[in-house]
Amino acid sequence: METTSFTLFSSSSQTFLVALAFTFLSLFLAVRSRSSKPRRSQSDGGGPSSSGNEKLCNCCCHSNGVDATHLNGGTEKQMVAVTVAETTGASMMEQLVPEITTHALSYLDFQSLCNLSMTNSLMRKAANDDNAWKALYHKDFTSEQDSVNPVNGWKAYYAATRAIVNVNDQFFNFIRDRSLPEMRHLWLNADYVKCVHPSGEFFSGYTAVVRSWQLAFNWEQGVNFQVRDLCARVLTDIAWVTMKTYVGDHLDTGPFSVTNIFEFHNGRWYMVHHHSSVLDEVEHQNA
Amino acid sequence: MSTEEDTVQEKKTISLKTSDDEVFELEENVAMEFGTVKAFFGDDGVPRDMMMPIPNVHSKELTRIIDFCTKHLDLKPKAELDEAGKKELRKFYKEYMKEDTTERIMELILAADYLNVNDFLDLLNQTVADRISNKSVEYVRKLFGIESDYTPEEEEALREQYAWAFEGVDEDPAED
Repeated sequence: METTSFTLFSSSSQTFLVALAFTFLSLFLAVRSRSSKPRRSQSDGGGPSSSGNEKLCNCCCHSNGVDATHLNGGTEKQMVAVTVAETTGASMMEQLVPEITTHALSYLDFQSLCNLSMTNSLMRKAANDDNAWKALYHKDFTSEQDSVNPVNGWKAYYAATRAIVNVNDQFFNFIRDRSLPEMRHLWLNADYVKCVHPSGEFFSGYTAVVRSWQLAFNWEQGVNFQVRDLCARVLTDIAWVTMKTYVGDHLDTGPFSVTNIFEFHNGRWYMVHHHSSVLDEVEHQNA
Repeated sequence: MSTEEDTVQEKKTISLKTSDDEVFELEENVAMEFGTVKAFFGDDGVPRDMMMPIPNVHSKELTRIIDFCTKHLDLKPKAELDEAGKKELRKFYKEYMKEDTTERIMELILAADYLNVNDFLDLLNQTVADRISNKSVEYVRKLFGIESDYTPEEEEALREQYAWAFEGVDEDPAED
């Protein structure tokens, strides 16, 4: 594939496109012939899926509101791109040689990477590249765990880490909102769960732990947290997260060193251990 | 075809011959921004007045790359000097690829990759990433002209599988 595309560069762009078309059309057909599913044109999946995707898109776009206009935006670009597709049968994106694609993928965020993998099966292979997801993991989460080899690949590990980070964020939101029902829901109802508050008090067992939170919520105003240096280690059924927190309206209390441990049951993560203690930072120690 | 390659070495230019047999003469410092050119000439060895063939790059792309490198070379030292220079460089990056179609950007990526022009490649890739950031799958398809070969059922299954990327709520971690 590589050599063919380079030699074709020598002809004019028009013939180049047509020639490239045949090369990649044959490649495309070869790839498709392996799967027995019939090929559906874009129009088939266009109706229901586009509305579905818009719905999804609204979920993923937090700050920028995305409306239907983005589909109509850049009509000129679309027209050019569509014309190319009509003549070549495969898009330029798919034609980029593997190492360029890998490099290009490293610029995408996880949502774009997922989007790309949903466009078609060829892109899916490229966008599901393990190294791309590993790089994204190190970019978004932590540079640790470089030597780790996740059982299900880095994409799944990324997804699992994101899920845990979200649950962890929710935990702090529950404290900030002083929501006892949600805190009760988060903790696993078991006798081995434990909670150590910054005061040094230690609670063991679901009932005691929940009661400790109830007391905390009664006493204190809702507090603001800033979480830093979060490192998550996610295994199949268990995950542990360490972090540094700063507390208070001006985030001037702290830092605290926090460890949270979660277990996976019945399709969701439960908290089984929380430990928060004052972090002794060497710079702040008075001699 | 021009025979500009017989320019005297004291002018410090490098000649490149593209796939469509056009010869470009560029200043040495601009040409050295191309990693491939730099490697070709090395520190000594290959004489500077030798014309370097670049059969994988069309003159259309080369013109653009030369344009970028020249402007970039001008702005980069200013950016290292002060904040105003940095701002100008950022603005340059933002505006430079605005008018180009995605297809054009792809062609430039191929050329920039072959010539090993890292700064331009970086900008091109970032431009593409920005164009598909926060967009739907349909938009990405249209932008690149990708045709879906999924059945509606497959698409539905995929969207369910990747729901975590769009909702960020509890998902089953053990399965792919």
